[in-house]
Amino acid sequence: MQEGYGAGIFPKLISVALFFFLMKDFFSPIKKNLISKDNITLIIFLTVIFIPLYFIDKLGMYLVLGLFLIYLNHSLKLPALKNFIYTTLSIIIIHLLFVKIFKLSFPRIDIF
Amino acid sequence: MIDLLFSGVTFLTIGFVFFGVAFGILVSAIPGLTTTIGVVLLLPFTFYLDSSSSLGMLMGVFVGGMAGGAIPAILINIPGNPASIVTNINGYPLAQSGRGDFALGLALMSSTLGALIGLVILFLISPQLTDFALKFGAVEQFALVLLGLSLVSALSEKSVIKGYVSMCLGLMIATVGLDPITAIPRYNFGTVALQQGISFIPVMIGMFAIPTILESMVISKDFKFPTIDKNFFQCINGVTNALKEIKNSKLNVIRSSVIGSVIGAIPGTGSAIAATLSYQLTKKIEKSDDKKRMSTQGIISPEAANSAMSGGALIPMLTLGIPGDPVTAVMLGALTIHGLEPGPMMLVSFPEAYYGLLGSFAISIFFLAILSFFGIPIFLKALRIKTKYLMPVIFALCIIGSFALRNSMLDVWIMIIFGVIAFYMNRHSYPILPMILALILGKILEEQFRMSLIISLGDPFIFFKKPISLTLLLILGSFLTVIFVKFIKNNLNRKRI
Repeated sequence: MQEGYGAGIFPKLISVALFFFLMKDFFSPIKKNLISKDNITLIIFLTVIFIPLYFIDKLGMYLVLGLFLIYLNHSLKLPALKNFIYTTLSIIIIHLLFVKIFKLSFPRIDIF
Repeated sequence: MIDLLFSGVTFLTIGFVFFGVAFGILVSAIPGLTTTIGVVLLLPFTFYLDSSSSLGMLMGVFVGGMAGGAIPAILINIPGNPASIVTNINGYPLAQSGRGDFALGLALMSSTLGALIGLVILFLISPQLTDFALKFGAVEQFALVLLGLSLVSALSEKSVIKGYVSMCLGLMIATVGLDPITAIPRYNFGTVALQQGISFIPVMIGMFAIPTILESMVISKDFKFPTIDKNFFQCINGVTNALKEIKNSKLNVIRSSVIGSVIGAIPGTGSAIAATLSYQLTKKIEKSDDKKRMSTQGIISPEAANSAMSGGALIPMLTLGIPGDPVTAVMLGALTIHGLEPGPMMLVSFPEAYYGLLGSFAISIFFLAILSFFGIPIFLKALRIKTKYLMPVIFALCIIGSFALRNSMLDVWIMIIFGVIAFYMNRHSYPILPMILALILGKILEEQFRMSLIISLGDPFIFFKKPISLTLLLILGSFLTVIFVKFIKNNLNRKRI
């Protein structure tokens, strides 16, 4: 079959090249240690982001975005009242800009 | 031809170009945010605009962003983007001596002139290059994309191996989805959502923006801009003096702009190399012991070069379809969203879009000139926004932007996952650009590779039988040999030490 020429060769070539380059990099003498502070920040970030995102069909876009913004503002050391005001304002602006003007349809709350 | 430049330009387009230039200057002027992030943040909005307005807006961000990076470099000694990496050497001392407005005027005005010269070079060279590129078939295109990707991977960061690891990862991700010839699903884990493949837009948004947000969470550092105690008219006077100085440095502006354009046209080099090279050359040509002369020429030279680079970087993107730097990579994405295919056929198939982009470039330069002249006092006030207030907004825009692409949460997941991958790639000095370019160009590379094999009935030597592809592959071979020899030499020297 004419269409078959080269089918599957491309991914195989890349896999072999990647393996070769990774092996070379693995034996490279310059290594950096993982910074534990980064990992802790990242684990908290992923936990806070992924759990609500997984349930977005139940929670709706606004609630999930609100949670993210509160968390980010908190981790960037914003006082609680300012955090609440900025989050609310951001959600209102997002609603006006993307839903009212650009006509995007976000997932809605479906808990009940 | 001049008529074609402005044929598709409407008042709306002009408005968006103006917004783009102002946004680009502001984004680049905030330490931690770059021109690429600015372009990425505006990319989702382009879904709702016509092609002329959206490309004009992105072009404005590109031109404004190249100039805006000089503001923090001069005022707080931190380059706003890699393009301004050497501007602070002479700019910051000048600002400390109370002449910040003059230094900013020098930087922004020479940027404007640099961008203008870059546009002229682009306008003159790209049609000629397109004529040549029209001779390219599947075999030649494969060789060209392979050469472009290899150059970007090898030149982008210090470690060549890391560049190639990043490129291979991008190529692997590009193979997810349907086979380009037989339409057989690959690596989709049985899901329908992955059959379309992984879109490069959420990947780009995640890889450029999420590491910046995570970095700000880890570092939690804010930068304070100094207050310049000068009123509006005093600032204007400073800019007028800067213009007089630039008038006496015509040769430097032209030389640096030509260097910038040439460097920009080579995929994988970028604005930092253009600025550094032209600065070093200026230092050699001008008497480096004449500190007064060098204090001004040392600002003019890198700024003219990095802005001229924007014109140069558009040459390979528009004529060959290979983006040379992250910003042009995002712009390539914007062009594809609007059904335009950059490459040898763009000038023939979409002449209005092609010249419209150049027209937007010209309008962006005009607005950059106006904003540079009158905007310095306004920008200095606007820059007091703290970075920590911007990060949550950027994150929200990233989520909505990725979602808006196909109204799908899968793209949001992809954006976050690739953001985390990019964070660790940055931490371990793996360059991001080769991965993104490989993701964009991977499909073309595979398609041309398969087409070439079909044409030759499975004969892999077809790549060495055509003169253009043979030449390109020979260039690639000699380039890789130089890198290999350098690599062995470095290893031997390290062992001796």
